[in-house]
Amino acid sequence: MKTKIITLVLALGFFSSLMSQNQYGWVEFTDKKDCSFDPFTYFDARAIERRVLGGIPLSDSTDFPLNSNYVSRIGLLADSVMGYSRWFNALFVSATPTQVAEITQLPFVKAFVPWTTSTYMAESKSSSSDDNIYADLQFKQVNSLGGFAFDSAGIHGKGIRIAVFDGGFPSVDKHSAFKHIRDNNRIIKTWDFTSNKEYVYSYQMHGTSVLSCIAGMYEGKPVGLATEAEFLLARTEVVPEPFSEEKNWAMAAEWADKNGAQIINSSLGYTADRYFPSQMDGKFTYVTRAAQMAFRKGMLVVNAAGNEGTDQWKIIGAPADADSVLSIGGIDPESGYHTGFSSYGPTADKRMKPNVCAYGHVVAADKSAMHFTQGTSFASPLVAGFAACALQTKPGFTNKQLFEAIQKSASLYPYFDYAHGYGVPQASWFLNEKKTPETNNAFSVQITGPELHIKATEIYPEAEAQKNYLYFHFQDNNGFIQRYGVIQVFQENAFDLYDISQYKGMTFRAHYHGQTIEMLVK
Amino acid sequence: MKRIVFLISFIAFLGVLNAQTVLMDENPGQDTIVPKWGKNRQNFIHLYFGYSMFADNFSDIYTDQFFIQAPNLKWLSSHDFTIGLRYKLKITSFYAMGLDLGWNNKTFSIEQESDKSFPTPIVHNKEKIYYNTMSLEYFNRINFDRRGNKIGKFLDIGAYGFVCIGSVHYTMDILENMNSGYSTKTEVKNYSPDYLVKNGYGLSARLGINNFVLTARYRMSDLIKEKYNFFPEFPRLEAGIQFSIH
Repeated sequence: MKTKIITLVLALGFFSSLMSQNQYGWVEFTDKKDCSFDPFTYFDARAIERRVLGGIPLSDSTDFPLNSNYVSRIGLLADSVMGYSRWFNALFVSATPTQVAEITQLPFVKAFVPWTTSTYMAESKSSSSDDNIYADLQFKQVNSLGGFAFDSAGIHGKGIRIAVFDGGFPSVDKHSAFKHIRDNNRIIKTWDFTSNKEYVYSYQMHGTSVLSCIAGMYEGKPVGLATEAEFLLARTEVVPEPFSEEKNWAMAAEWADKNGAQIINSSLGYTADRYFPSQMDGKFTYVTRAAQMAFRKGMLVVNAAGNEGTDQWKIIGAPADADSVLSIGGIDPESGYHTGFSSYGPTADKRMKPNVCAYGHVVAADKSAMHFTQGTSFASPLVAGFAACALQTKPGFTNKQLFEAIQKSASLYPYFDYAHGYGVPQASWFLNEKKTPETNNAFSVQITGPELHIKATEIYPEAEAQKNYLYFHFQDNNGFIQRYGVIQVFQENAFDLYDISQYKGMTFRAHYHGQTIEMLVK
Repeated sequence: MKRIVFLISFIAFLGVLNAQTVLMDENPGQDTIVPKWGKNRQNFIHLYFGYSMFADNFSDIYTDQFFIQAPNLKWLSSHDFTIGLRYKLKITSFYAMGLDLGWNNKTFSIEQESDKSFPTPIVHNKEKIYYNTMSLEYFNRINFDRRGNKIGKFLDIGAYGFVCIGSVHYTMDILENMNSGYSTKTEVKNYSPDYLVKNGYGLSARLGINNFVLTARYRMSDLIKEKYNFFPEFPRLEAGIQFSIH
């Protein structure tokens, strides 16, 4: 009898928790009838400035508030209202299946979009506390982007406002790596979208590490490039809550827009728990559409490509799949090319991703000191910091111009592939307005019949062998790269392919020592 | 001469090897085939382990002529260990069907009370009946949530049949010799007791979230052969947990 009771209680408890769970989701409204909006009272002055600069209307219907009558009606019907989105004219609610059925019957409700999802964040690991090793990598991670050039020109992202979305920012209010930011009151606003409060200086350390890769200082030297930028810190992620992160992301993007952010860094992504790789098409997911909208409002969204490179998923996650999101892949500081875990492109609809890349192994702040950590989560803030510096050099640039310029500045441009994008952005482009190839005669390509031969005329010695990387791809007429690779060259006969007949009609490109050669495969 | 040619060829080969190191060679043009196997793809198969306890007792026997009180099950030492393979065929995002092939090791431990009569009235120190089966189950799966390539939350309802692959009636007695101070332990195993059937069938249900599953099985057929209608029937309902390897 005892057994029966225990079993029944267990089974019923499990069953009821499974079956009677409230549904979470967006209630989308049909219209914003009778709503009025004054952009000058709603937006921060910086947001107005950004819109004027970008030629974006001060407001449109997506900025208008939700119809208060609709909100009240839903509030009476649902268990709880947990958030809203002006951009998508929707209310995020928790409701029983019966309540959802009632809500969807209302004439002003367009749809109920249920949610369940979870996120990835970068894996992080602490290792040696050897200061010299820290200093070496710290120096490299900043200078791989040309940080030294920005620093020499006095460019540190001054006056640029960056919103950072993450799982919390523990110790940012007391860690020495952020003292220079606190002392100058450059944390403009904070908001915890997971529990609707201002305090964000706790929870997941990931956000602290990410922020340090944008603007941190260690031992008087920069960890990221934008040490003079301003910040909006938003906590959008919760572990182990499985449903609300995308909602929080969308709400945080609207908050960033309202408060004048010019750049959003999001070292977050949404993959296998909810989606299939075929849905990473830049249109399907809610968070991707929110990121697209953020771009339309004039902000540059910088997002980690993802850490699924060695997983079955393999490709970038949402919102890195959006065409207007600057998606950041990771490279290995030791090898100088793609690091294994960094997610690959293209998107499901065969667009190029990631856009650019940066170090995926970094020194970053933890709760009390510094540590080694890895993930595209940290490549993304390195580029976000770079973007702030770039924008400081080109204050008239719109987000679209900035996006394109960052791609053009990158080390491999105009060559690109699905592991590196256009390569690592370079400060020199923004300071000199041109990219100078190291040479115009580093290599030659010969296509004879079905054979392809590449001869290298310049080869660095063994000690600098890492510079002897030859990148190549075959691109079809639809712009899709059928094959790409990286070869380390040791001698004059750098690379031979004896049967390229399958690539007939495609464009072959190769990049070596800063020079790109393009040929048609006949 | 042949040696010289070989040497030259070998050196040339080494030269080719040294000419380049392929660090990366990706073929996205060939990588776009959608896999058919996966947790939420068309087909999925995985191993699982399970542990169940019996949720009811031996059944008393009431007839017009007699009443036989069934023995009590020692529920903590009675259980059903399962190892199995489960195949799932996805029909839609919310419905799948599948087959489950399992090996079940059931142990029925009998409380040794003075009035017991099954399988014998003799009271032992320990008495157990082991009943091993192979079972094949067909099930229907309802999934509750939208998901990616994950198992997610599900309810399985199925029917199964089983074949007995071994049964044992085990007793253990300890006899103490008062004179010598020593005791004698006697274990008796009676293989394939005649009163147990060789096959049967039942219904099953499972509730799961990804790797974790709550499971229940109800055996509809009897374990006691019809001609032994004076023996109490074994517990029919079992409930437990399973862990899926995937």
